[in-house]
Amino acid sequence: MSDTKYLFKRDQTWWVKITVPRTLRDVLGYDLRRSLHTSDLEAARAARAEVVAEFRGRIAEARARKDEALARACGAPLPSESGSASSAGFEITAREDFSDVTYLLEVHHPMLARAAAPGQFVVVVSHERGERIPLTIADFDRSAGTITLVVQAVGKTTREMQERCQVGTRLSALVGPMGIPSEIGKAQKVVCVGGGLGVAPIYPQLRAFKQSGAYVIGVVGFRNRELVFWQEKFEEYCDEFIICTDDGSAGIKGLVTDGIEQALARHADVDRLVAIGPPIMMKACAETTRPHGIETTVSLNPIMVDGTGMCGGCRVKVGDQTRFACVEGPEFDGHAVDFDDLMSRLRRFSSQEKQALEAWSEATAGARQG
Amino acid sequence: MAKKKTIRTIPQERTPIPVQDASLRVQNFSEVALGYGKEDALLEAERCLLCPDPACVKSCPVAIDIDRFIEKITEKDFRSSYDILTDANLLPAICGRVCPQEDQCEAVCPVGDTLEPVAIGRLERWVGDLALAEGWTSSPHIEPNGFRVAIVGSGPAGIACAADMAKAGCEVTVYEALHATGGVLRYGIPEFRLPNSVIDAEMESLTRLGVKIECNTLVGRLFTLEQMLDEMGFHAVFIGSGAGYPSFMGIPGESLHGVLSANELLTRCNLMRAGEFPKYDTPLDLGARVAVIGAGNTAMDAMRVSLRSGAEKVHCVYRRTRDESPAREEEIGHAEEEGVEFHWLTAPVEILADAEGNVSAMRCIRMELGEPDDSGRRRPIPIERSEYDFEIDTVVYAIGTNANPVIGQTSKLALNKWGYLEADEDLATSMAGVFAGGDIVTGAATVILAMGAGRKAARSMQVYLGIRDSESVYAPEHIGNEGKLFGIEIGERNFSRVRVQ
Repeated sequence: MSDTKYLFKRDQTWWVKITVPRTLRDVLGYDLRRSLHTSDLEAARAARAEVVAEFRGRIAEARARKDEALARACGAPLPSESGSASSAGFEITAREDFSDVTYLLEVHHPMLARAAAPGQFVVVVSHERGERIPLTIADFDRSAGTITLVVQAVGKTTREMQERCQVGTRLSALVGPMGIPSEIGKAQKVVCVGGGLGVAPIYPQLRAFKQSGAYVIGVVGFRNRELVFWQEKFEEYCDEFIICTDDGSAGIKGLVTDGIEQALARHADVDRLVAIGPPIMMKACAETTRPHGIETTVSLNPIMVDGTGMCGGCRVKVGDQTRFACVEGPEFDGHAVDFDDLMSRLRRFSSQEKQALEAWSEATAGARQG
Repeated sequence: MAKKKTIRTIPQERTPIPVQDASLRVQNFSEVALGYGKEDALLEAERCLLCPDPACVKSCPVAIDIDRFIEKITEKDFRSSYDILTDANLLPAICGRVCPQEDQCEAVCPVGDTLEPVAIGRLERWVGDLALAEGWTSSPHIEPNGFRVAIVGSGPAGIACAADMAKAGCEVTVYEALHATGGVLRYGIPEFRLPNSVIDAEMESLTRLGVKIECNTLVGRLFTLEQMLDEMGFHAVFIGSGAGYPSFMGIPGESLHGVLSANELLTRCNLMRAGEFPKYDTPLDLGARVAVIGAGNTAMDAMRVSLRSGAEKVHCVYRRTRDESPAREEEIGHAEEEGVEFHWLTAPVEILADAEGNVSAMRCIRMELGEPDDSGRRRPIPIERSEYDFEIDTVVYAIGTNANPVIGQTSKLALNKWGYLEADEDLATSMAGVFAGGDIVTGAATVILAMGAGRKAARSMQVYLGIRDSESVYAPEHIGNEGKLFGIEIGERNFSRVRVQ
């Protein structure tokens, strides 16, 4: 057969035609075609290459433009920089210290910022030899492309991060958002409770409830006035905001459960409570609402390795079932969770945690002296 | 070729593979089977009869031209041998180590009818290792076709599919949820059976084909399948997310300190290097006496990792007998040599705790075998009042895994009643352009079956995308019309047809 690739004939005139890839048809149309103004096949063949090259160029250009637009829309790094970004880790763009143990990190990850929803968490590895730790997402800024993590320095990894994670440094790995997003639902009057490491993570949920039109009562607990943070942020989205401190130096004196009691006394029609914090606090919250029959959601923080449903280290007892918090949680019905089992399992590595912390403290002390 | 080889003229004995001594190897994580040397390989290759219609090729899930690669070894053309291997299987050094050859190619080898079959797996491994040592790469000429393909999971199914799609000219991106590539090859199979350096090297051959690998990406949660096909512009997606969700039995005591899944044990050791704690941050809480429940390959790995991680005594508890155990015979043998104590026909009924919530003992019941069940294996039946306790510090569950739920939770893909993805015989899922293969479709199986599924899905994807296979273009199948022109026999062409009344 004669070679008529890309050529077709209409009314004795040869044309060039190239089909446009499916994804670019909204920009370029179904195909690109141009008359060669000749009825001679030889002449058409000779002229073909130039036109084909030009059309190919247009297709490539359109693809590049689309990819770029997409990347910008998705917040993904552009192809040119994606390689270096992922290999070198995830940059910390801001940091704030709330106290000597609590610190905030903002990490640059535009896709994650776009995908994150209230109630989800990430797994972080701070350096090559580090462990994988789950951290609840405290906030996300889709336009800036960052997520916010609030960390309490309690063990070796979190203390080490407190020293190392300065603005401009990078986390070795950051993956998420993990877990099933919170169900905001149609609750009319909601109490959102945060204590300890749960104060920050309750914030995006509280905001989501407010934005869905609910009447929101925020209850947060701190040890004392010095440790209070994000008060304005919370107040912006709360109809009522109750701070509880152990010593009464700010807000009311007492535990978050005292704050809950106060809220429930004022509002008989509270139909939902969400609590995030240490297991003992969440247990107490669940016990407070149980007599009232208020739907109570808690966010569990068991020990995890991968966070993708593979290791089973995060299994928790909910009712008579064993559930994996990483893929079936992290939020469960607070009235069904076996908190004693959770607290026991959180102590699983206590001796190793102590050993790691001691070894690290010695090493850093040595380094400071040397 | 020289005189034709027969069963009488070939070396009668299978060339043995050097193995690290059991008493030494339980103290280290170096490879157990050391691999053939060149002389060993040449000798063993001579044992292949080069059958005209080789059964081994048909029984290979990825259809390696086994006879041809072995023939090239005998001709000392090792480079060609490697090219033939990588044509079908990009990862010979991995598959030569972890494939259950005794159930596949070696099971049907005619030499095996009278003698030991040809050691195909060991030869494959030798060629793969040689290529890594020599730095050979086999990068075929790839003509880009403009299609963009995404692969979910960098385990065996995903990388097999990625390699074939890249060779077909597609722009391939592999997404991996963990911070390191390889899936089960990395987190599941221990260093002494498959060194990480081998995985790294073989992964590199994938990137040389132009495949991009993105770690730390949890598909479904970071972006959904729908987004991939729509706004991210992928023309097709392959899902190989695996069946990593570990099972527990639901007996009392499973949340005690010291009870963990084999996956957790292996991930902590293999991926997170808990053996080097506290230099590496991930700890492992392994006691002196370890009981592993189950007798599959994962159980064997868990036991042998435990022995190397400081356990003094390791027990295997299995409710059937050695004959029914799903592990490779070689693995059971290795575990036995290393001092694992097997308790066949035994099932745990309860895990007992000390005052601090640590495992102190396991209550077991003796079993006997009854009638065969659905799987064709004889069903174990508990013997009444045969319970007994034995003291133990750690209990490891290796009784199987279930489908990873993340893709099911985040897409509208059809699932079967066990949560695995529904796929037809071409491995197409219920969503156009989305294919799936490996453990996420079949349930937990082997590395090579997952790779076979990945290759099969790649063929289906190419058909779906309209990519023509170069081989089929140049060698059209017999269609029965040869010798005819417009349906008329060529010999009749110059005669006019006469209608006979």
